[in-house]
Amino acid sequence: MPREQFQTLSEPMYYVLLALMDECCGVDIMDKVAEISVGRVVVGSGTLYAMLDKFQKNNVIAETACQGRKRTYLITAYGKELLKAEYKRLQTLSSDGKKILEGAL
Amino acid sequence: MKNPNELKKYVLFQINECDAIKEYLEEMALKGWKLKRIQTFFYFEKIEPQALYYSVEVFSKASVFDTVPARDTNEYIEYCREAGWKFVCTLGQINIFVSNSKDTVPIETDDAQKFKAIKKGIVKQNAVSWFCLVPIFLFNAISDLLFYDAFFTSNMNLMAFLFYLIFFAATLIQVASFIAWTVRQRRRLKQGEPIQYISKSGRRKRTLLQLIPLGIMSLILLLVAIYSIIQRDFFTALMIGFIPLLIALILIFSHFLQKRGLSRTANKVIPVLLGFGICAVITGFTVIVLFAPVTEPLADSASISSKSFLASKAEYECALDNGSIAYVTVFKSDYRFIVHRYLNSSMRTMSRIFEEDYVEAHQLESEWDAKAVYTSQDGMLCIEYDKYVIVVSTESELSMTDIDNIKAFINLN
Repeated sequence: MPREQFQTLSEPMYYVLLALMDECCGVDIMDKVAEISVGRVVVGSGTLYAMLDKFQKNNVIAETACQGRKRTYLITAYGKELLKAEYKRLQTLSSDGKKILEGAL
Repeated sequence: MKNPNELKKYVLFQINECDAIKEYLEEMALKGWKLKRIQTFFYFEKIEPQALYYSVEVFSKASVFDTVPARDTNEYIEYCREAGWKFVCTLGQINIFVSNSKDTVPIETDDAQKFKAIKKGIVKQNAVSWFCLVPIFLFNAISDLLFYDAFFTSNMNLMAFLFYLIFFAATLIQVASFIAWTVRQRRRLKQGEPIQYISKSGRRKRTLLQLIPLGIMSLILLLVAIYSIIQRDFFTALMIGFIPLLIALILIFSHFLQKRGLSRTANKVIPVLLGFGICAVITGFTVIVLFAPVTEPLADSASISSKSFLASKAEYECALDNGSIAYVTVFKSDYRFIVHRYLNSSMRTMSRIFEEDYVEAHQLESEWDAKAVYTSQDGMLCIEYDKYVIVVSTESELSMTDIDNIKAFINLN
């Protein structure tokens, strides 16, 4: 998993941030990720826990509510920037690829 | 009373053998035994034989000193529970989960993260052995080699030195195989292949490899104990007898800590306090026994002596003709090499203390009937024989009677 500056996000990270564009908590995040990616990307509960912890420490997401052990998260402005940057990067990859591979595909 | 619905098994495993343990637990479930808790032993309860799916996880925020889940760990457990993994038990950094269905999403889907957590976990699990015991034993071994008159004349020290060597060898093997495993897996990770954790057969091999040095050490302990008793050296035999006692105490104590389920801090502090306490008691006991006031020693009796199967050393106070006292140290060994080394080191030490070199005094050789005699200004004498070395420290000149006395006395002993 790329760290520090979150320059490029791994697939699970990308989808978790997408899921957290709306307030979400716990296992709902896992379900949402599976839903958005149509079952292609799967995040385990342990992996998710570690990821959310890291995101929160780096101010990528913020805790909005906490009932006992259940924490609800929402993406922050900084997180949104990261997400948009990643989205643009993926688009660039896609369009550059399209230029070359258009004829062949 | 054996409860037919409960089974107890002693299982030792390393963190990177998580898959082997997972297999083991799933096999037990198929046989009708479900894991209930781990406290030194694996405790199983009887159930209908069924297919259960286990996940043996390393949670990097847990500590080796955890006997119950810490707060962070509890959150993590909650996440897993929501995802369909029921928490079974925890021990240190390991958490075990069970699920009834094969399709539950695995707890750790990030191979690289899991690999990292397991690597860190192994280092933490072995931290005491690798980073505390190795330096301490190394220090002991090196001082043995530097102060080897104490070393060669004590069966305990010789045996301990052997133990250190075996321990170093075993630890080296352990560290080397761990590093080899890490390097291999990192290559697999780079090529996008899944990590291979140690399998059941790998685990069996590893256990055997670690049992062999342990077996050798126990055998040596037993032999030395028997030899000591034959030699009427009961002190050594007693010290050896303490070792299994100490190990049993440590196991019982750690079992007690696991049962009580105290906090992480308590689990760190209590053993340290207890360790210091025990060391204080042992030291006090040794001091009292060894330095107990002795009745006025006879002028020519040995006050300190030590003996091993390799060499022996004794220190005497000898009354001289003219009324003064000479301090005599006798070092005996059947092995020329050891005698020679002692001679050299004695002379070096003496010349360091008295800041002058020994001079060979050929004229005294016949008086002492020795191979060589070395003297110094201050009246130190170093007399070399085939099988022993005498070091005499005296303020006055030694007369022939004195020399004969000393020689006779030593031959008597």
